Amino acid sequence: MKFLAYIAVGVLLLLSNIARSVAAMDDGNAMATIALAAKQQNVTPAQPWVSTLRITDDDHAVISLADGERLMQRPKRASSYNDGDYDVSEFYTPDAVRLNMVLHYAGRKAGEIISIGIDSGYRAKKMTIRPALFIGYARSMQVGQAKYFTLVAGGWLGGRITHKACRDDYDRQYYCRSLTAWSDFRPRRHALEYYYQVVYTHKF
Amino acid sequence: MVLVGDPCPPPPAPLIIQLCLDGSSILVGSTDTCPPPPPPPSVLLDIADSLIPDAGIGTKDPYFMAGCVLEENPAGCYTNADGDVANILDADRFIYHAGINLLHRRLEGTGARQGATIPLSMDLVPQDVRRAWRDGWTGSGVNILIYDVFGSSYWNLYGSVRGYMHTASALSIAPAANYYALESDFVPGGDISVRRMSDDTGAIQYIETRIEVVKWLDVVSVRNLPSIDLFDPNNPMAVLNPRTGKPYPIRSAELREIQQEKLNTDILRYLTGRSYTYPDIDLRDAVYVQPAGNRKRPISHPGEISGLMLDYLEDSITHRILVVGALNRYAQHDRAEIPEYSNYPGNGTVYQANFLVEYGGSPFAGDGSVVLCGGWRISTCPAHYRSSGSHAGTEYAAARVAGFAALVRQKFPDLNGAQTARILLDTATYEGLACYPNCATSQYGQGRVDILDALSPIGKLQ
Repeated sequence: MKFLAYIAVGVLLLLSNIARSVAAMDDGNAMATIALAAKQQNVTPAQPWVSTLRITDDDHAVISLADGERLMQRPKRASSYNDGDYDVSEFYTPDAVRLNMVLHYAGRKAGEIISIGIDSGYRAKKMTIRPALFIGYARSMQVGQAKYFTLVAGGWLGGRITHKACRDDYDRQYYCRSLTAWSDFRPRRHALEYYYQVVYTHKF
Repeated sequence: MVLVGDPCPPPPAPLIIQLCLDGSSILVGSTDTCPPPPPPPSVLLDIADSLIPDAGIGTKDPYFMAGCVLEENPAGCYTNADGDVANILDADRFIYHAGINLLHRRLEGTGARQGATIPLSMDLVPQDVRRAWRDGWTGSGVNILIYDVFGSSYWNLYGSVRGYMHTASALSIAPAANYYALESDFVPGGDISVRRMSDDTGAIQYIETRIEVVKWLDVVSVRNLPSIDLFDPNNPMAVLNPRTGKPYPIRSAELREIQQEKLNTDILRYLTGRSYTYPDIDLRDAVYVQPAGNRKRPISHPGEISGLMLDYLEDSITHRILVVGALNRYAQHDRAEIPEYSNYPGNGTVYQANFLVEYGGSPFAGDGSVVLCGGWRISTCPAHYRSSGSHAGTEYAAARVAGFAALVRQKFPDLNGAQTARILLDTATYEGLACYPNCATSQYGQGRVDILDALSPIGKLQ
């Protein structure tokens, strides 16, 4: 029996590694834990609950993606090629408070959780993060005596980042944050995180 | 998540509301914590396209290898007519056949990136130019047309050092630009002759063929055009009688007619898009860089082509014309002044407004002299194959400004020719000139190019 337990642990570790990243895996683990608990106790939480709520205003020093990953420090000043000093803070000051929230509620069956979230996005003069929507689903199923399969999946949709160029008096274009030439600016692609896990639990 | 032999997991944690110390966030939930202190700013800038992004000061740029090293870089080495491995420039500063070969490979826009040897002195290149290179602004992708005497004929390449040094001067500022040669065998009133270039071995490809594929040129660096000295220098309103050699007066309308007719020739027809000989050479958006001339006089003199251009060509063209006088050294290195031979703007706002000054010396080390010999060792070079180099001139100064224009057009590809010329003029400086801070615009025009300012934002950012 102990041998079989080791095998089970190995398989489960392998499945867990499918998760896209540690952070996403943490989210997935949390949802799996809750779904499994609900199934084992055969309860369906009556009230929805919030796992994430971030409200950021224009004083916030960090610009993040919808999934919470840090994108950049909000730029304040930039040095030009000839060591000129420019105040670029206004180009990255958001024009609205940003709301980021993830809500969970129980499904019809015990052990079923449906998650939905929104990110209102980030709109500044020279950078925009489009609004994003989070959709998640978790379900724990009993497959035998003290044996459970839990399926968890979730991810953010949207949140595309776009940059606009700064222009000088000669209509030349620059990447505002560093004042490098716009022609030399290659924005890094940021994929929002998602997770999916299959967890097998055997209670000995 | 692995649960083995574990009791039931705990129920969801109670709702916790956290207020972060920095006041930035309100976090609700069981697992959230305040964000950690921000790490250093991430690097979003990808300069993978830059040619030499990591080179520090003093780095030996591969574009300027002093000579080929066969063991290290056989592809960069070429053999001369005698079968010897030849550096482009030997200890006596003689350029052999291989040098000419390399030049023409370079003129086809393939040399620098492939590590071709270019015999320029790195010591002469100012630090601000090197800084631009380090940040990737080397003129890459910009097309420069060199209009000069390359000493070609239909059957032999004599190798005029003039076009060579002209090109090398531009190359010393914009090493990765694409260079095209347009042979100028000036016949007053005639047209440009574009001749194929070949050497005895046939190793040099036909420039003529290459020019046929040129659709767009960003910068044109022009030879020193002969002046129209039909006029008595002491009396610009008089024309020399071709029979007697004595001046006779003409009416001002006749003078203008003669002058304007002179502008309807040569390279200027390409500039205005009126040439039909080689319609694929398109200079209609090129920055046009014109040497001021080496006659020690103002370009406002009626015989000076550069002044006449500014007088008579339409605004859409004059806005992209830069007239360049010489300096005796790079102003970035030491206090520079106009050498005795160089023309200068003189009186007149239009002449001063389009005038720049730049180092007009040879790009080569030592005394700057070079000797070209097509297909022969210098020691056995027939006299008529030999071409000695002059050491200084406004032509080389203009070529350097053409190189600067290429750097600007590389960094800002959306600029048109007039904007590029305007930026070079507006950011020019007198700093480093011997006359600074009291430099006369009648002598120095707008000053010398400040490439770092020209590559930087100007005015207010929006």
